[in-house]
Amino acid sequence: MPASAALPLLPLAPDLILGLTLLAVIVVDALFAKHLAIRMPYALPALAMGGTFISLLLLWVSPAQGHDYANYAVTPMGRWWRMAFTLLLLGVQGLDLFSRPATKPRWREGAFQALLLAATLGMFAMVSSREWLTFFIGLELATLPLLALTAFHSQRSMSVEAAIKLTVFAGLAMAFSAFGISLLYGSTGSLSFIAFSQQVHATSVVPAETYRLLGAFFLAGSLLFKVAGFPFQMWAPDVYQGAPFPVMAYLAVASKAAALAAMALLFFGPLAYTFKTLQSAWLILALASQIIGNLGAIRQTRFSRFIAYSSIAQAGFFLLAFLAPTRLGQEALIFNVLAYGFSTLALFFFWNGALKSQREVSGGDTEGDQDDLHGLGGLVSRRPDLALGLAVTLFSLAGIPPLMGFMGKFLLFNGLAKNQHYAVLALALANTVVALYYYAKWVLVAYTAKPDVPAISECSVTAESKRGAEFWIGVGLMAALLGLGALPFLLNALRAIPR
Amino acid sequence: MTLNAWLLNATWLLPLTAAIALAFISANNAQSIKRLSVVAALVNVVIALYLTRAFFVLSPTAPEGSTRSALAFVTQMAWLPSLKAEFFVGVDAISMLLVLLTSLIVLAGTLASLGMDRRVKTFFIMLQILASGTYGSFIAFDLLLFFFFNELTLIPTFLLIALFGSGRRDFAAMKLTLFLMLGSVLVLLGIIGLVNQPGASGFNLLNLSQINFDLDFQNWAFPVLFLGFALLGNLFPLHLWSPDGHASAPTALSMFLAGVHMKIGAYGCLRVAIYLLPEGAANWALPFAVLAAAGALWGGFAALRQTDLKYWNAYASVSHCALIFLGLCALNADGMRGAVMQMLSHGFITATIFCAIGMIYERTHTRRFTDLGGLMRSMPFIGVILIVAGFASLGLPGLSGFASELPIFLGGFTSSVRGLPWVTGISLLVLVLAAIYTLRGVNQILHGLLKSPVLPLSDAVWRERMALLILSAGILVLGLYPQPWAEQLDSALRPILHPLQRN
Repeated sequence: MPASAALPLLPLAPDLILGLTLLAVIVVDALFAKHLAIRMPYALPALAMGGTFISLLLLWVSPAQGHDYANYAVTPMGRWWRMAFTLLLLGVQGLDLFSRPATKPRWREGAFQALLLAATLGMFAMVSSREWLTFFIGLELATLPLLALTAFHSQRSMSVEAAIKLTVFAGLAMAFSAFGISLLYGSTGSLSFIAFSQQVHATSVVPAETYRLLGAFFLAGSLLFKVAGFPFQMWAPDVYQGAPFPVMAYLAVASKAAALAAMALLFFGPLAYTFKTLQSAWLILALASQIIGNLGAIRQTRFSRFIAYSSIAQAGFFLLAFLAPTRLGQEALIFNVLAYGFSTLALFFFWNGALKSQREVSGGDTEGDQDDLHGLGGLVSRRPDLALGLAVTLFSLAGIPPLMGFMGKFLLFNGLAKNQHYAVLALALANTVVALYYYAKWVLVAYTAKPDVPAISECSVTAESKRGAEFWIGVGLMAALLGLGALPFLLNALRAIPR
Repeated sequence: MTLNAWLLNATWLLPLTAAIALAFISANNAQSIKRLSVVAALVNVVIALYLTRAFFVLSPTAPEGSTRSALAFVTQMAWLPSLKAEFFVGVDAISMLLVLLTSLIVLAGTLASLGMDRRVKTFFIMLQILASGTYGSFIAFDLLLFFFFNELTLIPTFLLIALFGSGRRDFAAMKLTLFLMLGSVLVLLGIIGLVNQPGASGFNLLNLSQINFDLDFQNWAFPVLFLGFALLGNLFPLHLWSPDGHASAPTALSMFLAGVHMKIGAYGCLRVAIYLLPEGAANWALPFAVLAAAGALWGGFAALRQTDLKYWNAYASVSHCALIFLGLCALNADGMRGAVMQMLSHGFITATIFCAIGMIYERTHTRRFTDLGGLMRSMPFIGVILIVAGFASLGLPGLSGFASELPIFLGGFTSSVRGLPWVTGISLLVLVLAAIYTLRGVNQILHGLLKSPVLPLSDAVWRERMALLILSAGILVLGLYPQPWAEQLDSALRPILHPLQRN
């Protein structure tokens, strides 16, 4: 078979499968919506998850080298980012299955699944872009579905309010990126990244340099919004609080992953010329995010806002990757995205379990406050497996060895040291100590506080009789967090990515 | 891998395996849980004793003038190749004896805790994980591996105090965890600094010891590392976590924390800070020695004023642990040998006293000096053990306290660090203080009129006697016949001392 004649579609297969799944979900939903809602409510989620899973498998077996399609490229790093995105999407879809109310089918199920898939497709496009327009389209596609998803509980005013807030901020961010891209295009006259890099090295005329720097600033601002880092972090707590549960999970893990992937693509790629100029900026932004996130999380008692502030602080740590040498920074980012993603999804999973056990004991009361972290009180006497899971995930987020979160932070710290940023390292380490407080606090509550509902304390440990799928998934998550942190598999795989 | 190398790995693998096995036993089956825990601890003691004997037969010695420690029972394999971290495990005399100490204290602690009746499963699982992390810390010769094992002990300590402590346990658990995390973070800063220096490739401790680090680097890295470890090792003024922590912890955990866990700090100071950064050590020895002397006196004076038995022993621990640091800062053979022997001696002594206090508390339900008196009449066994431990604590010749404190003071007086003889002279006062607070405390509760909120009182049962005897045996052996241990320690310390004596 002549290699140059036909366009090799195999490296593109995961993207195509995801796109086809999206279309399939839309079509099936359009044709069979009523029928499915009554007879097979899990058909559409199954279809979506199936497509995502196939896409993940294809990514796993695809060659590491990838292929360059001129404006769209499947790069080795891009392949790993895609794997991270599909894993996180699968996690969110799985979480959705465990957290949906069993009794009534979701309104507009097809739309929900399609929006999630579309956002992920947008993220794929973002990391594959080789020129500005593809990047912009990917960024838009990765953000706009989230607006609709946040508003999905349209009967609740908080959901709609959160969506409006997100729209305003997202619109601002879109505008920033449009300004930035147009400045960068204007200063070099070309949309492609390669031509852009060539122009940067060739000309150093002052107006062009200024425009290039301004363009980079605007783009950084736009992506900082998406990653919920200082100074654009204000939207996160309110939006997380208003969004439906699985959407909150998606925002917290996948949306952040997308932003970090985009930043890695740009600032370790065409915008690498800004490295020296922006170093102090990254430093300040990273430390400020950590401090603001920490301060906010310390006093939080609502789960959604706690997750939001904790993720702001985590984003602060991830931004430190931009102070590290290129290769180390990229590896550290992917590892951290996976570690943070697993840990946070696991946290959502165990929190969901805790909510369900609370509901069981209080007699199916679903009107109670679903967001209050104090509901964790006495969890160890109701469900010791969930309490242990919560402890493992919270400590992983805090960065305690041998869990995955520690290894992620360690890679970031190592990168900092390689570039002699010892003062920043000391401050970042101090922030980890502060962060341990608010993570350990809730472990303490789960293990020692008096349970809210009095009847629970007479309940004997019933977890041993309920070894269902949830239990084993929880065990699997804990094993993953322990194994991937202490064993070299993931680290070796990341190191083996060809340049 | 040789059989002995497998056995050495078994010391840290066995408690983890026991913890996993315990997880499968139903929480209602307290009998089996306790039995399995005792068996696991006993097997660990047997392995440690066997390995100690094998080590003494083998006696690995570093060649004259070498700065590379000679290790026995080595296991070295690739672990995280992309970070150049290896799974490098072995022992020299210091590690071996500390492993032996750990195994004996874990066994004693397990025996002392067999009277527990609620949440038994969680308690013993956490204790086993704690033991595993500690064993690993003493035998790891790769810095990242050492850090991993050290941190493994953080979460069990947190949960054990939070769940099984007394008094303000939530507060104490959080305070202890945050302080220890601060210490770990300082250590991590030092470690990351070390491995990113030019010439350093990987985390292998022995390889790093061959590198002459830049003096500017040593001058900031040494205090950072030393402070980080010293926080764990209970050096004034970073000892703030320990009185509340020890007092609020359950008996077995107090024994373990004060007896072994704090020694990881002093061990780290020796093995990482002083070994790798000798010039930095020479520059910073005096300030840290001053802190050590201050801590010894502070602990002593504070112990005089205590009204609660556990706080009394906790401050006594602060005082004795400070002497370890004094010995280390002397930077000579006598001082360091004394420091390591004090690690062992104090481990046994403080574990014995906490064990006895725990038994007294179980019977009388009080820890206040004013509520207790004349206990010797009703609990003679516990009383005699308490007196033996007390005398060891104040340095009576023939017991381990003297055998370890004498070299420390000798080393301090003959040290080449400027100003150290004066600091040592001042810290001699600690002997008087120790005598006062020990004798007063022991006298008040053991002699005089029999006084207790709960009567009648029973003496120790067989398992408690075993626990106390195991620990007292350590005190006696170390005190009556320290020669073989001292010789081995001297040969292990030679590579560490060599660059210091060169200056």
